[in-house]
Amino acid sequence: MQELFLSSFQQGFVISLAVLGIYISFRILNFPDLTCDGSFSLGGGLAAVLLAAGINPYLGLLVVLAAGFVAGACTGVLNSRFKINPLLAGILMMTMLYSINLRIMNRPNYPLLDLQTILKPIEDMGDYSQIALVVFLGVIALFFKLLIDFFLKTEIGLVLISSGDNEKMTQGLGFNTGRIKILGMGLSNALIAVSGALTAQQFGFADISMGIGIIIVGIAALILGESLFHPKTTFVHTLAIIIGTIIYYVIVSLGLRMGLAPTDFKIATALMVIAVLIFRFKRSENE
Amino acid sequence: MNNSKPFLRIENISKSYNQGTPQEVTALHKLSLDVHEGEFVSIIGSNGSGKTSLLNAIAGAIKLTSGRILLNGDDLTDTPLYDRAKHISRVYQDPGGGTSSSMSVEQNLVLASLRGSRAGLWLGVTAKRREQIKNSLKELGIGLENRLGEKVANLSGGQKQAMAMIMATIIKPKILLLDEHVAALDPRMSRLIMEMTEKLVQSHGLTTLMVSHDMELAIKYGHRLIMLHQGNIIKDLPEAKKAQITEQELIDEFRQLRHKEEELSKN
Repeated sequence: MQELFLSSFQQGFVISLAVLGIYISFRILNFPDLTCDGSFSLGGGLAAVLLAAGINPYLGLLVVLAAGFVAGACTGVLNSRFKINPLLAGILMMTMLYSINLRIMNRPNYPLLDLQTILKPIEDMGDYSQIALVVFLGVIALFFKLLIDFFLKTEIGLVLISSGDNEKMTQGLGFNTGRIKILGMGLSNALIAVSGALTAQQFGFADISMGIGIIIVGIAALILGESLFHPKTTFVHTLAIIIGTIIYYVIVSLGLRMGLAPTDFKIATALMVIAVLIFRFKRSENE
Repeated sequence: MNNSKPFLRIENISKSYNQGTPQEVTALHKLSLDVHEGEFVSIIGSNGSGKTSLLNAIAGAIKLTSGRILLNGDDLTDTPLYDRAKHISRVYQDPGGGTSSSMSVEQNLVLASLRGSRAGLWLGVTAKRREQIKNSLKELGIGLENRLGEKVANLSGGQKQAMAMIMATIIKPKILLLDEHVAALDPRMSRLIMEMTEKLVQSHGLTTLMVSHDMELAIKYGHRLIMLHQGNIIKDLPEAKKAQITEQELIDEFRQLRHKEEELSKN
């Protein structure tokens, strides 16, 4: 049981970065971005290749961050510059990323065993390595959470929020909302790629299909956190996202224990999202 | 004032939709207008007369079919909306249209105070800015200064519109466009916002174009009255003449126009 919680926390912290990214696109920019399935795999694959090449794992993470940013920015450009529908722009980018990722990895699955990952020094700590891993990954998640909190309080952050909320008014104040959206989509996918990179290092391999369905996991975790905390401020919202993601993985692990087949994960998650959305709809109907 | 060079020059602008098809609609038809600096122009006209299209054209929300728009001598015709917005601000009829409802009162006002400048990666709401915002809200006397941290979604329509007015003028715009900005409010709030409008326009000497379908308002406020019909100006009254005209005369005029139109469509 203890093991279940430890692994749920570890995975929850890692995936919460992707969920924070999805929060930026989905909630703040009101942009249902499907790029994330591709940028998550991009992060994993790129990290694997860089690690295999012997590059410093932290430097590698920075490269992943930049690559994720570019991927998201491309979706942003397709939408705001060329007026391609947000869903289609995301799908196009996701599809292209599939080919790009295969080019980067040169094979569909890339093992990371025995490579010097970010987590390696902590995994080698012996008895308390699992708890140390929770702390380490928790610090990373908190670091990015606080960074986002601060960013959303800056002038650019305010423009980002208002662009998603009321684009006409934001343009009416003299801001180029297209450019700010591209920036937001870049940041979102940078986080998602980093999440993918850490996931690959956590499980010891990168896989071309590791990002499939990450959007639904993200939305499930997002609405779980929101339903539990009803956040009114950004600080609470991003915290709720991290906790929501951990709870999601606790539920998933419990489900697995009770005999849920791993292949049924995705339908279970999607049904969970549908259930919460129906519950919210019914409640708003009664109000 | 009226002898000076025109500040806003609108030259022969036209806007048609579905050009060259049987569904062609002309929103603006060879309209020309000069507005002087500090002038407050009221614009009236029936539905489809081109009032909102004229404001859209000035703001850059629509692309013109032909014609030019010059502000202070600079050709704005091909300048995108967000670029023009550095100098041109607009308040809409919909009270939610001028604010971001998921942000707080102070965040909205800080955003508005960044008009025309570059947003940076430093804190938006600083202690100094909060103090300034508080002071400018106090002057309004509607109690918003005590609700700085509140989400705008929780404000009433009138309060939102008051905020939109401050946001439009917190950085002095070269042109202020008011698009039926009190039409959606109850009479008391509408009066309050109009008084506030007049005060802001006068104290800043704002060049203002106000579209209204309320003829009483159009006569009462502003230095000049313009009547639009079928995308062009059919009446342009200076202040002295405007002071003499009555609401009834304007209504009669509209009636005649409609009558003429009906005659035409019968033939």
